[in-house]
Amino acid sequence: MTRKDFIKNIATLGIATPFMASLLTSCTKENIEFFEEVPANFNGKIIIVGAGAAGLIAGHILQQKNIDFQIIEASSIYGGRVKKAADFADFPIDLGGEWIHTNPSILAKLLNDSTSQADIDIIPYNPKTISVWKDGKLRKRNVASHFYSEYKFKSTTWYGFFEKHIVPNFSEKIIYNSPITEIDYTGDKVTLKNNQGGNFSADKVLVTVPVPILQSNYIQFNPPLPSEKIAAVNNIGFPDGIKAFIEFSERFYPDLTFADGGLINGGDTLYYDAGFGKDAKSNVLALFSVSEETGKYTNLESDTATFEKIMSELDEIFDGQATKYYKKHIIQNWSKEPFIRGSYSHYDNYGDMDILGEPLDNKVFFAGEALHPTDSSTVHGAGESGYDAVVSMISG
Amino acid sequence: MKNILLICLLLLPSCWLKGQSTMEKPPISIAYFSQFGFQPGVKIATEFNLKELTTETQKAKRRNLFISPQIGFFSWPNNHSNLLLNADIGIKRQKENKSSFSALSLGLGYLHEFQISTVAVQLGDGKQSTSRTSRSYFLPTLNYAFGSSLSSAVDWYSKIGVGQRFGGGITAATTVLFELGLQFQLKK
Repeated sequence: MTRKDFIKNIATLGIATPFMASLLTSCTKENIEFFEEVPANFNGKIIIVGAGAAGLIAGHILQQKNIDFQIIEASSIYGGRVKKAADFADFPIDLGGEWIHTNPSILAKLLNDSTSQADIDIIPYNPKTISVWKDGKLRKRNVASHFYSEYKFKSTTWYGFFEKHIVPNFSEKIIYNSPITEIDYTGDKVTLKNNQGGNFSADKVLVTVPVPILQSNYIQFNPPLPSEKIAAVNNIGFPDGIKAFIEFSERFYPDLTFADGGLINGGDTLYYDAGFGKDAKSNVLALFSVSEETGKYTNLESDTATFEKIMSELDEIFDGQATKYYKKHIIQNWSKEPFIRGSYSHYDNYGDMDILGEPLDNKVFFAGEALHPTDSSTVHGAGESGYDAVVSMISG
Repeated sequence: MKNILLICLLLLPSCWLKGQSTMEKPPISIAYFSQFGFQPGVKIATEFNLKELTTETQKAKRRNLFISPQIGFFSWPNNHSNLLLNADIGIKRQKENKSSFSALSLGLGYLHEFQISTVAVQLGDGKQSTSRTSRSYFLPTLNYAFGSSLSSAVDWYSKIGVGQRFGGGITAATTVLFELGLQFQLKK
């Protein structure tokens, strides 16, 4: 084979293909599949119970369709398990949902507005220094950086996304501090009652409350929920959940530490650099814990006790450096939020999701992170389930 | 400057060797190249014999010291792309009457990683544009390769390399590199 032949053959083999693939990747302009145009065959009023991600996206879509609606929220703020601390550090902090567990173009899909000129910066979350705390030893596992990558907001938060792009379109339609305790769907209209005796009425209702609220029977349905639905609801796991953010004067921790053996053990207790990839100068280490063991943080008598527990753990892992460099902290104990009561749904049997999602008499519908067929336990999954529920309500 | 110096250090021996070579033209190999098997890419390499190690009593087993300058590329889509300049030095063994061969080598590599730092998402249409940062690593590897002749002009080979990345602001991180390719013997 001569050199000329060689070059000719290689060209024929298409050796440039891998380069091309990467080139295409690096300048990707991914087209996303937007929500389909849905005919709105509905002229009545809809009440959405809960102003979390599912309720807000549902409201946003109804607003776009010019359908009369109201969102009734139990707490004093919107967002549900999406919440932010704006002033804790030199970058906004997600106290709740933080990662974007899918292609970030999902944000455009949730906004569902092709006329929007706005853009939003996302970072790939691909920690480089990774450690595992196991059997009293901190072991480097940087090799794991080759196998894990997700996305996060760069200079805003999930809450910030809703705050800037979703809620302003209908903020006056959210009623706060109004926990719904009764939903009566026996008549033509669905009537709702809150814990102060206030009454509301609508043609259809979308219930987006977290699973523990349904499990605790905080909301009384009339007629009662079918026994099959009650069983399905009670089958859904909803472990404790907590996030804590601690600022230190010096950085002494890796990008990511699996605090409970992690990786192979499937642990969900992480200490991570909250400012990773962001324009952050402050050293903020975050705790994220969602597991059957999370009660060791969430079930203590006070946030102070929780903080002391976390600091003693950090001092053990990092040889006392946590106490040495501590500046301030913030704790978000989701298990103690009265209208949340934990983290997010875990299924043993995904058939329960179908049962939970079945509407009641075509009047009461359900949405939330627990009801996304492929992306449950995520913010975008909650949003998409809100959209899907709206489609069912207005096109049926 | 540091990077350029390193590249020169890796590539200069190859030029020197080319001047010395009295044998046939050095082969060129083209390989599918991947980090951990799922970050795909391509590698192009050549190979120079440094020294015949076969003794009179071991003619049945030919051994030679070689050096192989290489340029490789691999990518983790939507995350990072990587350019590798590497030189392997090692021993290649081949039985006289068999077409198969194996090689054990040490690699000295310079890895330049282009990491996506920001993805700007257009909220109107979901289109994305990316910006990147880059960082460099020193990447020594221990490699084992084996293969055999397909014809007088073409060999196939497979290679695995295990190494550690150093630098780039991180502590050592293990990496595993896979290679499956063809080596073309060029005529004069």
